[in-house]
Order: sequence, then structure tokens, then C-alpha cells
Amino acid sequence: MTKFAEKAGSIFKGGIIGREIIFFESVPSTNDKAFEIGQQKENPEGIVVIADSQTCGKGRLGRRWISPPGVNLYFTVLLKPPFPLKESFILALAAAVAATTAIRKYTGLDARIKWPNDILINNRKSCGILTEMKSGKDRINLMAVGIGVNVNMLPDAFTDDIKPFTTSLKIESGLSFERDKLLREILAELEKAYKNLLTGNKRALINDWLRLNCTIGNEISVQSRTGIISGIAAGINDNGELLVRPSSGEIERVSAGDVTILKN
Amino acid sequence: MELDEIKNLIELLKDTDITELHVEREGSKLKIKREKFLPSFAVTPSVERPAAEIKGTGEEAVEEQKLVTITSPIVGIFHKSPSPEAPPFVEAGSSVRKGQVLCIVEAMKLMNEIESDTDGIVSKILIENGQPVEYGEPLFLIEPSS
Repeated sequence: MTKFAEKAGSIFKGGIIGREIIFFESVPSTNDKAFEIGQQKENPEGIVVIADSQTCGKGRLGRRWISPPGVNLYFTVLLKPPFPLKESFILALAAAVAATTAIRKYTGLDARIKWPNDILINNRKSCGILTEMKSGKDRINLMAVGIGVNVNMLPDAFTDDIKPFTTSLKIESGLSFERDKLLREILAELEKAYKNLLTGNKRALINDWLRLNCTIGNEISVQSRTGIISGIAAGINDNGELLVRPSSGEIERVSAGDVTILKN
Repeated sequence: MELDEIKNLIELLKDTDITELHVEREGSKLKIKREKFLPSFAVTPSVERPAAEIKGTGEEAVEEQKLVTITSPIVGIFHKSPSPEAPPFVEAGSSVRKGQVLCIVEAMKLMNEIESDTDGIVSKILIENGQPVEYGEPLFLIEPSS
């Protein structure tokens, strides 16, 4: 970790994201730690919190993100975008575009986005993104974009229940990767995407997302708290919602749920 | 019929339980009708009738003004707890402080914590767990502590 911390600490080359990088050997969750730090800072924008391991790494709705030391990337970027609240979702898509682009560039693997922002390689998840936000009535107070990448993790480190659906960059390629280099790529891509969004270029981001996704056009099912919707993923709308065309009936809008790609 | 005469008739009915009165005279007919005045009750508007749209008797309006409506700032899914197994952030009757998290509205795996605007008591939760909400849709009614 010390070597990794030293190398990654020199990542920042001017800009917004990574102007302060804070390392921990172990934290419960980088998102929680980042919020804790961010709320004490006058300007938290761009702070990156990295941990070598997480004891309570979390996914959507309290799910666990397996976070052993020495092998993977777990980090959170704090942002305070000046966007209207209803536009905030775009950052969740931007994080996916940035991480996917970086993984593709650095490893050459065919990483793809499953709606809204899981990153799959050969249909197995290698990277997860959880964005949490604290907002006022009409503005974003603080946003934590948490990214976990399974870099050099081996199959035995996954629990049996998730083994069939998960992977790592090493499992897919047979090669070991340097975590600091991948981190550098992801932060650079996120900086690029964020700066683009700050100039109001939302369409370019959505186009990048569409170019890198593996969901649209496929037969899928979406599991939500209220039931399952099955059909063809027809597209996403301007709110980032997934449009699903069932075999009969009208197109349904989905803003949250677990997507399974049935046929592609 | 003179205007003063009509005013007097209305005045006369005010303190009675009479809800309808017909008066017929040569060349003129008058019908006065009113809704029976309901006793006051605590208003807990339902989802179908957001607080801002409710028009009622004077007492209702006073009760309604006391409640603070917390609305959804984004389109998404309403989660009353951080995970399906966890207890809800708040329930009807819970005492809350300004800035306390009331629920999460999720959209595109972005979890937006919705906070209370005021100290007070949760009067009513207007959305079922896991249901979709629209931009600006009322989520909670909070009775502010005075």
C-alpha cells in the first residue's frame, strides 16, 4: 500500500479532480469516509479518498462490495456540481463512461456499461459505481462518486453467490495491472467528462454512454422492489431512465432496478 | 326583492342548521343553499390530493398551513430505508430535526438523501416503499415544532 499510495499521490496534474488525494489503509466505506471529510472542508470539490481495503464496502441498497487489501481499487471522488438537482443523474453516467474508457485504454479489454453504470467484461461485473448525494431544496450540497474496480482479484476471493456474475481485469486477461496507473486513467477521464458537463455538453456524454453500453437493443429483465419488467431495452431518455418495450403493451420507464441481460 | 332583504335572510340563516331556503313572491324567486358546515378535523391529505391543492373549510386551511410538505427534487424510486432489511429512516409520528434524512430517492443508481426542512413530527408518509416518484411530488407532511 505504501508504494501504491506514494505513486498515486503524484497523480494530480492540475484541474479539479484529485487536487487533494487522501489515503487510508482501511476504512469502512470510502463514500462514508469521503462525506465525513467533505463536510469539514470549505471546498470539498475534487477531493479523492482512496483505501487499500474496505471493511463495509457497499453497493446499491446496502449490498456488500467485497474489498480485500492489496489487489483492487476503491475510491470516492467528491463533487459539488452546479447543476439543477434533476440533472444530477448525469454524474452517475459520467463515472461509468470515465471508468469504462480508462479500463479499455489501459487493459485493452472490451469493457461495456450495463445500465445505468455497472461495468461488465464478457457479461461479468468488474467495476461498480455507487453515487450518493446530499442535496438542499434546489441544489446539490455534496456528491460522493464511489468507484470499485476488481483489478488483480482472483476467483477464490469472490463469494460463491456472486462468483458466476463477477470478474476482475486479471481474470479476464491473465495479466496483473498497476493500480495507480489505472487510477490515474480513470481520474483523467472523469476530469474530462466533468469539464465537458460544466460547459453544458450533456448530449456528448449521453452519446459516449450509448457508444460504450451493452444494454440497449438487448432482451433484458429489470428487478425492482415492486416487481420484474421484461422486454427489449429500447433506449434511455433525457433523464437517463431506461426505456423497456415489453412484448405487449406500452414502453415503460425505469429509473432504478437491477438489469439482467437475457440475450445479446 | 331588495338587496338588504337578501342580506338579512343570509344573516338569519348563519346561526342555524338550515342548509336550503326557498322564498317566492310575486315576480321573484330566491333560493339560498349552502353546504353543511363540517366539524373541524385534522387534515392528512392523501397522495391523490397533494396538500397544496386542497381547498376546505376555514379550520382545514389552518391545519394545512401548519404542515410542511417535503417534495421530491428528482424523478426516481422512493426508498424508506437504506436497505430492504434496515429499519425505515422515519415513520409517521417520528420526531425529526432539520437536516435529518427522511428517505432516499434513487435514480440511475444515484442515491439522493432527502432531508427534513424543519424540526417537527412526521405527520404522514405519502408514498409507498419502492414506488416511483415524479419531480416535485409530495413525499412527507411534517408538523413543525413551534
